[in-house]
Amino acid sequence: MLPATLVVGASFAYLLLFAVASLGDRRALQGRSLIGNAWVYALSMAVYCTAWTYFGSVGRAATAGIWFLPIYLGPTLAMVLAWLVVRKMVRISKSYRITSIADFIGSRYGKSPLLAGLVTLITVVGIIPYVALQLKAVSVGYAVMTKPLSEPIAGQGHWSGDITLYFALALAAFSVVFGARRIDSSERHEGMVAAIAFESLVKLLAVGLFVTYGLFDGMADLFARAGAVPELAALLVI
Amino acid sequence: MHKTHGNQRLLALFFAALMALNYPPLSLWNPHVMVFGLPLFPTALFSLWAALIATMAWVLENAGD
Repeated sequence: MLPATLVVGASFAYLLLFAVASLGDRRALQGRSLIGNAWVYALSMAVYCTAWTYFGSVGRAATAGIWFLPIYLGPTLAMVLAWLVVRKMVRISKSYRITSIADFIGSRYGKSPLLAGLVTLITVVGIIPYVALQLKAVSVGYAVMTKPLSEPIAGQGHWSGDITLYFALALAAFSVVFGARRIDSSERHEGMVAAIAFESLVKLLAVGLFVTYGLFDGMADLFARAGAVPELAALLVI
Repeated sequence: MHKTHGNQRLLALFFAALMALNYPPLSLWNPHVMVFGLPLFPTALFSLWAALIATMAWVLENAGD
């Protein structure tokens, strides 16, 4: 259990992301792009590892072993064909100034507004549980860090007492202020991409390298210690 | 190099990786042995993943588009 002030204070370090984002935007204006680099762009793709990943993937690894991995192998395989498929989609979107999947599918079938509306409906309905899961992951993550181990993580109070609601409102305000007000297909959110790439680097160095080589003595040590725990040892065998 | 060569290589890589990352080829790595202190199966899966990414990068960098 950590004091709430420490957790909130440490999260202020993430304001550094704003500095990175504004640097990315400024460099883009100067024509010296920060993200015109395969490494930076690849790091930004780790946006795929969402807030929920810390519960979903880690939970899956803890209960099913290596089978948390296919959810990453699949997209990697799909990216092999991205040059053939996604590039075509980008080209079409650019020439017709399309900014959403609904308009894209609608335009492929004779600019059908009915179809575009249906796609919007399906995507909105489909994405709400996913967004809810992300918000829950943020608030449960906060609770895990600040609550004593003996207390239950999720409270059973009135909905207005659920901290998730306030996270959602804060994030909505953030999206309105940054970027979501005006959408144009020619617009490139370079600052955003740079900030995500920077965050991925922090995850890689802080979480990956520090835990593996700082807290433990390398990967072999991690596996040896896991092998010593009967419940975990069973997961290492296929 | 002609552009379609790059596309053909990507398609070949896709199907090769699709097979390598599925059973039965994956069962090659089933034996419960340790490599440098790491269990074989996860090590093999991560190595295949890294090899896929490296090959994809190589194909795209040499596509000469």
